[in-house]
Amino acid sequence: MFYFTIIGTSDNPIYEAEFTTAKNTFQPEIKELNPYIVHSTLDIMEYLQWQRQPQLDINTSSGGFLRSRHSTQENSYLGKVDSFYGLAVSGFLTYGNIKFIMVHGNGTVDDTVTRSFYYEVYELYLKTLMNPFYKVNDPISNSAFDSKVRVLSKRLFV
Amino acid sequence: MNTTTGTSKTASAANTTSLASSKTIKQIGETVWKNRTVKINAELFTLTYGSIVSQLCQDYQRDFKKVNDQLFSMGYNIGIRLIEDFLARTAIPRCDNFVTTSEVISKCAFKIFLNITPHVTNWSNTKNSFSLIFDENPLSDFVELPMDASKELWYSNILCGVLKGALEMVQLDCEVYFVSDVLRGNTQTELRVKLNKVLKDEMPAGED
Repeated sequence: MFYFTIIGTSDNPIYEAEFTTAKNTFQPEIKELNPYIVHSTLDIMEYLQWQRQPQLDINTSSGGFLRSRHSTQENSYLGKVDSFYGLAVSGFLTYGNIKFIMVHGNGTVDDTVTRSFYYEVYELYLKTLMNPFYKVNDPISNSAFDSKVRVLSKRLFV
Repeated sequence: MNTTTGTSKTASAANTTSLASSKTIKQIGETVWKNRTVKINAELFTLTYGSIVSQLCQDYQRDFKKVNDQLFSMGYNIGIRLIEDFLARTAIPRCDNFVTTSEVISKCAFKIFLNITPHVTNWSNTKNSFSLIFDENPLSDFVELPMDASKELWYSNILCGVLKGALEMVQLDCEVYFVSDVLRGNTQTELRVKLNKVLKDEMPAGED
């Protein structure tokens, strides 16, 4: 089971979804906590966002802005950023400062799968953003987006 | 028959022969698109048009009838200029009938300016009105109409204006309007062109 959210630039939620199966659901008390877990992760992501990579020379112009802890290659995917009583939390930061955060109910973050999930959602998000009637930070009410994200989650996580 | 004028010196001599087959029309369209058209980035184009429409919706307080009219008149003003440019580039001779006109619009004009070829179909019995079916529409990529607009707004209405203006400048008085649009949830995007009458060259008043 997974709880996925997109958080806007002023920490406002713009999309949320739960990916569960019949056997695999969040317990009611955890389900209520999910938004709070995500909320507490925001601080960690903002901290990570401005970290320089320790191994990078501070004088190089290519700086350490927006670097993942786990890789020198990519800027957006942050991997596992937090955990909460056996739940793992992963994060992704777009170049427009939109945060994708997901609570992994199974307690582990499979980097390969999660990364590709985030990048595909990013692509869907970009398409939404290109719609001239959509404004940054508006909630995504578009049902096509929702169903595409759900299809994606089924393909990757179940 | 059209003779080569100063403005159309780039057009090849072959084009001045009769438009016998629709294949020639297609070839002209493709040649001009390939060799004599300056291309711009598709996203830039789509987003520019998108921001115009969304700004108009805001300016007219979401009165979508007015937005449609405004888009149409913007298109009209483009059309009356664009036809000149189009004829100069292609040097297409006069169309003998409305069927040829429709072919030129679909295979040549849309090809050159938008790189699409809408199907011509749904001819009326009298052969004076037809539909253009758009399989793709570069204007409306990425677009999702907001709920309140999906009943009234014709998002690509500028195209109607362009066709209306352009046809009017070649003595064809037409009615051009959208019948359906995939953005509104219809199965296809259909644009109707209806010929009212062929305008005669008239003397300006007081010059007879």
